[in-house]
Amino acid sequence: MPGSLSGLFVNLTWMSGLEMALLGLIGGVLSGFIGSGGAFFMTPGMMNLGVPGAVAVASNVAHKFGKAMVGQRKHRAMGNVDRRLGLALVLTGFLGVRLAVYIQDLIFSGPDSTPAQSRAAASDLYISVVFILVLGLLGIGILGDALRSSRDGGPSHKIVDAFSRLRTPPLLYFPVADVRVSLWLLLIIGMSIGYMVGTIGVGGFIGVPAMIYVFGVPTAVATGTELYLAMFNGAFATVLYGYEGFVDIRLTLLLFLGSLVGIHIGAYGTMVVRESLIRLVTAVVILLCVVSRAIAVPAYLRQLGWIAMGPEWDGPLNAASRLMLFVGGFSGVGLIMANVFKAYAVRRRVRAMLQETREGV
Amino acid sequence: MQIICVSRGTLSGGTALAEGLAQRLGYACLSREELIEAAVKEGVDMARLEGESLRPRVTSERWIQEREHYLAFATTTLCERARNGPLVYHGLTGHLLLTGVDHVLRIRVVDDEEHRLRAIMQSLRLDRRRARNHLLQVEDDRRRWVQALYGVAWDASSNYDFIVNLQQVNVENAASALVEAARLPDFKLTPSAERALEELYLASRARLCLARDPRTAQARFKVRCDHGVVTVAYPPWQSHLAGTIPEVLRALEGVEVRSTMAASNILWIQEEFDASSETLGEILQIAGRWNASVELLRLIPPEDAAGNGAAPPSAGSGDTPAIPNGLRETLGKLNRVGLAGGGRTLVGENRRIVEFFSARSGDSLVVVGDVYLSGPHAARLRKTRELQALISDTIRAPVVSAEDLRRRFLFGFRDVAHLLPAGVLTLLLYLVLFHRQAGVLHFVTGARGPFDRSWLNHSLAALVLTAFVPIIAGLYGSFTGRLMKLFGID
Repeated sequence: MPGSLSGLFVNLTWMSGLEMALLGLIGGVLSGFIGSGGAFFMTPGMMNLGVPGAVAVASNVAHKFGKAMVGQRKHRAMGNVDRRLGLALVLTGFLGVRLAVYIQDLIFSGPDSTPAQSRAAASDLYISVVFILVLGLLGIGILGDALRSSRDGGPSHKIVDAFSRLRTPPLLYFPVADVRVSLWLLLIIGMSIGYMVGTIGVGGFIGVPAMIYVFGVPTAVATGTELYLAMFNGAFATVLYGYEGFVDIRLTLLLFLGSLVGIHIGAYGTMVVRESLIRLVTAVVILLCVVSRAIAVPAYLRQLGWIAMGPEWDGPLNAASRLMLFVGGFSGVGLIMANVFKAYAVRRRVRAMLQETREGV
Repeated sequence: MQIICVSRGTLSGGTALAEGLAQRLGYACLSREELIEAAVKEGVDMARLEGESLRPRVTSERWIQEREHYLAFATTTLCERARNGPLVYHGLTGHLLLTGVDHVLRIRVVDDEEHRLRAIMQSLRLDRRRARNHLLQVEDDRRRWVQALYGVAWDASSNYDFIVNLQQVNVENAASALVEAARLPDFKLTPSAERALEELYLASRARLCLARDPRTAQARFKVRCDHGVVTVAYPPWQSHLAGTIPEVLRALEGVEVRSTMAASNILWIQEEFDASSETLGEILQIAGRWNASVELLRLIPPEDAAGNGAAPPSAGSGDTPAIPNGLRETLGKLNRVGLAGGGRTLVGENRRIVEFFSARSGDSLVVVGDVYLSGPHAARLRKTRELQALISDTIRAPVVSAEDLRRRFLFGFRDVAHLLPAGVLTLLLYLVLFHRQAGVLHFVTGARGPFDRSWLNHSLAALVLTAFVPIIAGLYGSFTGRLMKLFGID
């Protein structure tokens, strides 16, 4: 990449472009299957391919904005969007997004004495740490629930039970979802979603479960409203990141290339896979993404001069991180595809059996 | 035959009223407490069922199993008692267990808060503040229980035929008034309601058999009974149970059982079915793609019901009415391809249609075919449109006409006309952007722009980006959506 942009934007080759589209495809399949973003896979994947963290998040947020805009239309047509709830979360979410972009800009601009490479490393480290903490906890929680539900049934509700008891007035009523929610709870959840969208590009992972378990919103309405919310949060984050010059539109387009195909395949997978398996796949893929990100952290620490390690380690660490991420992505997608094909085969077998029985009769 | 369901609040006097009513009418009386006790003996984990229902949203597999078991048991018990003779049931929302059975008399009993508070203070020896908290908590728990089990609001007045306020009238006088109400013909089970009760009884017995058997206890099923045929739908990941289901249901002697693997359901509404119709072929294509079963609903306009003999079974014969040939053949065809979801007849006043759809879940599509056939063409179109709107208001699934079905869900010329321009435009935009990537990046970062001031260039870049992203997503999304439709993955 020539001139002033070389520090910020990667040089794209056919190969790296293809890898980026593949990231989009895997992210799209996972997104359609799990019912939320897919950015938890795409953001670290882009960073593994050499994209600076801030650019990866910004380009991903722009990608999510476009995708949410297309997706929410279908949900709205089916009456699955509570616009009042969405707008209430959007308003509080904007505060979170603004805070996230402000922190990112603060780290990336840094003091003038700091070299550009260190500032990029500091930003990458910040994003990675938030990613590891949030998605690590989430992944462990989902894995625990998946294992518990296969034995005894039912996710743990300890934290959400505590939240849902928070009924401090004023209570706001949302007619489509038919729930009453405390304004204070709305503020906490909305700001958290906005902050996560702005920091790691992942918002649905908090938004959808929070709406279902804490607010008591029906699942379909939670998914539709989250897409509506993602559209506004995404637009706002795109404007802010766009203004700062962090959005690499080429990467956004390459992600679209794969994700808008993958999302159909993933959504189809949900029709043939049982819920506990969906939770298990989600947990395993998230945790592998977290491990992948953790492997990359020592390189950022070295670039910041916080640990003594030779630069020759950067390459192998990045390769190992990338390998772990793709193993996670491919195994998740492989499992989904295997179940889709298995369901096809079973249906054909059952139909053939029925046909034979009828002909016999 | 008559069924009276009394919904009572905490210490509202509902039990005394229900028992008084049963005594005056000479009917059998069943309370929620007796039903729950029997359910515990049956093996339903009521502690889990009630405990988890208090949460904002319950998703636990085990809870869903317990709920299915409880609902099957409670419905079977209620139907059994009602079949033995007229019955007064008093609990929370007994009538919701009798989905599809018309002319059940639904009564809600309320009392003023002061009276109830005094009763709680006296019986539980609590002070006023604690008694009020207790009352609010119990009422809230009951509201959540009804919401979790049936998905409706317990205190919505539209769920009841009479609301009795014992603040103004004493229990004896209220019972006397309700005896008069119970004598009205509107609250006697008609032959069609009796048949619906029989079919509900068969379906709930089948569901109970599946819940009791260890091989199928943990699986999810949708069981229904139409024209004496029990249809069991199971999701694709439980395909290994295909052979077990008939074995388990062998206990229901003399009942025809069909099982269908389906993740969802397509409901097709027609006045007359034809197994060779083009619409059936199209619906089968979609159902195959979606792993959905196809359920048939024969909708008879009320004015035609008497004329064409399609009305619900006539005067108390008790026999299952003959299934029209078209419906039978279509069901047979669906059964042969393993997509049968059952078939039923509904005499279609708007109220009945709303009731029918309010009690449904799991539909992924509703297709409104040829209905109101006896009217002139223009009236037919208008009525069909009105029917579509009525159903759309009641359920979340898309409701389409047979003509729309082809356009929206099957790949056709219209899709080609959209696919090609969207594909070409997307390709052009990608080519331009990647061919001129350095210039584009300089612009979107605000490094270059038409203005002298940097903040203006940055603002313009942000605005252009925000406008461009949804355009390209919409174009490419339309292209991939139609492409997937072509391959049957939608």
